[in-house]
Amino acid sequence: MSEPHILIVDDDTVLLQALPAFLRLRMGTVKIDTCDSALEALSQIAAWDYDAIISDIKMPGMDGLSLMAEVRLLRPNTPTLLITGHGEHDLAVRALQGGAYAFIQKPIDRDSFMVSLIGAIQKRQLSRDTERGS
Amino acid sequence: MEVANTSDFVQTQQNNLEALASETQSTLHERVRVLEERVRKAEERRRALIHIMGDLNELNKRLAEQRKAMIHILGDYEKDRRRMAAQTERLDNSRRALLHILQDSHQSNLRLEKTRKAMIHIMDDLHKTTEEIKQREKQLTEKQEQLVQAAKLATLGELTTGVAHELNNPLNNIGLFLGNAIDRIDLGVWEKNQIVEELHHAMQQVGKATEIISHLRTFGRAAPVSRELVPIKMVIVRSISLIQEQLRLRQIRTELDLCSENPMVIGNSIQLEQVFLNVLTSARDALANATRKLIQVRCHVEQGKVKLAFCDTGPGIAEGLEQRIFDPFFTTKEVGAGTGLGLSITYGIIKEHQGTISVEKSRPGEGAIFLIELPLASP
Repeated sequence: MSEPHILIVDDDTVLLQALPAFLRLRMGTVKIDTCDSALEALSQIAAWDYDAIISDIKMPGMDGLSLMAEVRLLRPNTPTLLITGHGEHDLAVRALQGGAYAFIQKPIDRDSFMVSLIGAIQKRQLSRDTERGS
Repeated sequence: MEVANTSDFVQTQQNNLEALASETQSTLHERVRVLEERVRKAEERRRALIHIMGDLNELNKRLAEQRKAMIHILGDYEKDRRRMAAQTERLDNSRRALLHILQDSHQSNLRLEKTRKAMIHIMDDLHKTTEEIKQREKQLTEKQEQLVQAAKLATLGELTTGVAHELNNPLNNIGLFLGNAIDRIDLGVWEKNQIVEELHHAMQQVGKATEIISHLRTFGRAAPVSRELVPIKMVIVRSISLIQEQLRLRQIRTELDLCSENPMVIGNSIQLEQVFLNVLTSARDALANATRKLIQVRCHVEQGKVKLAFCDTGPGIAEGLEQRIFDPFFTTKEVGAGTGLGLSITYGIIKEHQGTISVEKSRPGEGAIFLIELPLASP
């Protein structure tokens, strides 16, 4: 797996500090960008072909579900992992229905989160290989 | 012979006559003296009489003067008498009037006595009623406290979603920071500084969560309603901080325009926080479909009062509902979305604080403005 490039979107700036640190510890080599709003994320997504996008759902302005809808148009093959609050099952269902690769409940279970993220990255890199191959 | 005899006789007669004359003269002298004596006495008496007459005349004059004086005095007496008579008549009239009054008074006294007895009954009833009212008031106060508590819990319930999200964030971050520390140790790539930094970040997040919970606990506590000096600006800021997360997620901006002074009111900070939360929640809901989402909170001091205004950019209060919105169980929200108690409890709390709450008539295109006035605590 080549060095993955990941985008994290959350309006909680503390999470934008803690989560990348965690991913760097677990994944070693990883390139991580962070945004604290969906609008800012959209310009980043337009500029970069990320291996995975991790976004919170509840954010002021454009929320994670709307961001994901935009991603589906801009980068249909980029997997999106949406973060929901604990017990917000309806949001989780809506996330999956909207095409999310996975939903992650806060507080984040780090191991299962890693499994989902690595799966997402592998999926994206596979699809990229397929694109290159075709 | 005859002749001799005649001469004798004549002599004798003469002698007799002389003797007689002498006797008569002496008698006459005596009689004259007696008469003269009588005349002298009569003269003395006359003089004495004249004297007496003079005295009498003098006396008579004095008597005449005295009579005149008496007549004068009598005139005065007469006047006095008439006056006295008139006064007596008046007094008599007064007496009769007084008698009437006394009779009336007696009647009144009798009536008063009856009334007094009736009043005693009424007082007794009133006493019983007052006791009952006191009992009811006590029950009412208890119920009101329960209601306020219930409303607080309802507000808390409404806030739960936002608060859960707010709590979830620090919890999640704590998990991540601690996880990172564990990972660093597990992977053997740790330096003391890094571990301390991760733990320090986690502690900060613990502090944030504690602050949220402690505020919620204070707000939800069923404490007796005490009265103390309350810094009103602080209560406003606390209320906004409790609902801030919800407002932020709904993209509702808040603008605070609080006076530079620190106005204090006598009251209960938890109850006042409940009031501000109710008004802010109401504004939050009003802004659900608004294009411009702004809540302005203004506070200034004027004429011994602190005046607060909560303005939103929502659709405003429909005409005719300005008063009804403070009625219990009145709600414009959908069934199940609101208890209809928030603003009525707000109204009750503000009234208890000797304040007023009103909603300004919305102009077309402008949102609702809630005005709250509270008396400043005397310095």
